Amino acid sequence: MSFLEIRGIVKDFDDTKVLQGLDLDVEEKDILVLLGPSGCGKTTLLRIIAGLLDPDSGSMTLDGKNLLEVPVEDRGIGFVFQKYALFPHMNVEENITFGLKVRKVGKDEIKKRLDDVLELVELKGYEKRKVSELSGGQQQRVALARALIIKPKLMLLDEPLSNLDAKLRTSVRVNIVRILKKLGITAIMVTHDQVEAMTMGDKVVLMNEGKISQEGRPKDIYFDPDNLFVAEFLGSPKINVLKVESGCMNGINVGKEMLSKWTGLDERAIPDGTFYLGVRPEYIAPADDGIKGKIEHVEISGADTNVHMELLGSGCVMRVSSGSVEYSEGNDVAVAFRSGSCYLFDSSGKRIR
Amino acid sequence: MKEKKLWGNINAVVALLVLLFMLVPIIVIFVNSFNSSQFFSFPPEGFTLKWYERFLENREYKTAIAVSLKIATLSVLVALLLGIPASYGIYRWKSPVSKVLSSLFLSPLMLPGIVWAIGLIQYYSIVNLTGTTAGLVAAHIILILPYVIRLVLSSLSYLDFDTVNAARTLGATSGKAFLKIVLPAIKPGVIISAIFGFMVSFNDVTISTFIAGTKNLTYPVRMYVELRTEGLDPLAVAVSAVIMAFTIVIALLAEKFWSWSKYL
Repeated sequence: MSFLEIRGIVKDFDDTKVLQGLDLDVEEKDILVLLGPSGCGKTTLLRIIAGLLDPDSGSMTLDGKNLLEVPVEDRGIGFVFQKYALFPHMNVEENITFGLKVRKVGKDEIKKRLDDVLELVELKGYEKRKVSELSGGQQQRVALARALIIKPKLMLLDEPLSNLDAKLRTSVRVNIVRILKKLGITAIMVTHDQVEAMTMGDKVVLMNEGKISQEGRPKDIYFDPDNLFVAEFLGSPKINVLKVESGCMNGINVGKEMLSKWTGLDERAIPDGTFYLGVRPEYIAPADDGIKGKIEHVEISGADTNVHMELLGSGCVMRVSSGSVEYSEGNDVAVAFRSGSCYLFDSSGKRIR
Repeated sequence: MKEKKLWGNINAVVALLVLLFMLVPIIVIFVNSFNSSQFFSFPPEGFTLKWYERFLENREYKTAIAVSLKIATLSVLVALLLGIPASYGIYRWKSPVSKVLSSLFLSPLMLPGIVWAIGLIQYYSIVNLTGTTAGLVAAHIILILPYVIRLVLSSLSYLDFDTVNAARTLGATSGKAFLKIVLPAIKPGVIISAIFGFMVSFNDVTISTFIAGTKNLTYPVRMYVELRTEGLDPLAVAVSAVIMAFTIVIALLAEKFWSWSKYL
């Protein structure tokens, strides 16, 4: 039995089906990341777990206990809100110790735990500051400390980095993972940012329209997508998707033999009818005897260069190391897919394995 | 450049005139409360404190002020006790019904007081509330409630409800979260509506005249009655001066200790 077990959760808002019978398992001490586009129901799920929303049906157990019978205030689940939701009329210390004071924890114990948690989030000396005087990063740490001090069985983090500037995000990302791992806290984090998901999660759950599209270790869902949605959601620049209709691409006859040569797949593995061919930009490389294309636009993003080109009648992106070869707009180019790097999806978007 | 300066000067003059227009009655009252003449005259004929002495001896005015203070305090307290939960309910319960309810709660503001007062007399005579403290307080609560609901709702619109959710996940029951998080957040609205409500109740002549009866004559009603029978009594001027001085002192103290004007 998993530490947190969620079965068949359904939630509708008026006429919108937000969650459609969702199952999820979270193992103890894992950081699980719920990833998905906005409106996919990930925040709703987080709020249901915390008890801030009631599901229409389904069940949840935490550490073997039925969670739905326990009122919010007794669940002992820490929640870090997207906009932190710090109490504006309280200073840093009052914010952090709120959860202990309402539980009537003794003064000495409060003092001790406050010291520990302040050290952990590196906010020593800020006890008497007003929360409005703090920077975004500091406010975020107060929110984290406030949730940590109650020694939660489970931590829920709703887009904890979305209100920080890009520079700060990387360091905060590392810091949050460090703290959660140090304390051995089980956590569920919601994000729409794939980099956050991949770097922070032990397990990533990709959600789409109230359902789980795929779950697994970050590496697995990136390198082994189950469907077109997952393949397209992860990766930047996005995976190239080429539509093949009865051996034709945009009216250009390619045939199974050619496809087999390009993708390195056995001719028998290539389906008839309509299907999609997916290949990530980093698995396309220049090759003299490769597929002919034309360069439309060149983007240098630092170490890498994205070469946008027209290939077989579709727009395609190739990602190469900057500086190796000079690419310029309007030039012809010949490229090849790295062997074994192509995914095939059927017309409904399901992976053909 | 020159034109700009000219407009600046005109602006200043207009502002000064408006300020004067507002301040003159207050100044006149203060000055005249020390006027030795029985009749209104300006400039005053001589200096005296006798009107103040007379006020201290006058039981009727003192009782009237006491009645007014009592009615205003009670009405404000009950209006807050009713209005704060009502506003919170409207804020939380986001449905078409809550919109209808909130405009219904504000409707007494639109109704001419006199129209409502006439209905109230007839109704009160049926239920035997005419002339009772309860009846007067009840009527004043209805007068105050729209202000309370309006101002508290506007304070609530600044409340990030996730702060309440945060308190709940940290172990606070819904009641405790209300006391510790919601109440402090709407404090400005509560303070201002208490002040406004107090003034509305203390000022009301129309409704109170109709239903006060003899036992619960409030200060403005007493003054109005005197004015109708005796003409402008210098005693009333002195009392007004006292009330005004009192108000100014309270406002200054409140500013010093809670800086309440920032909530306006």
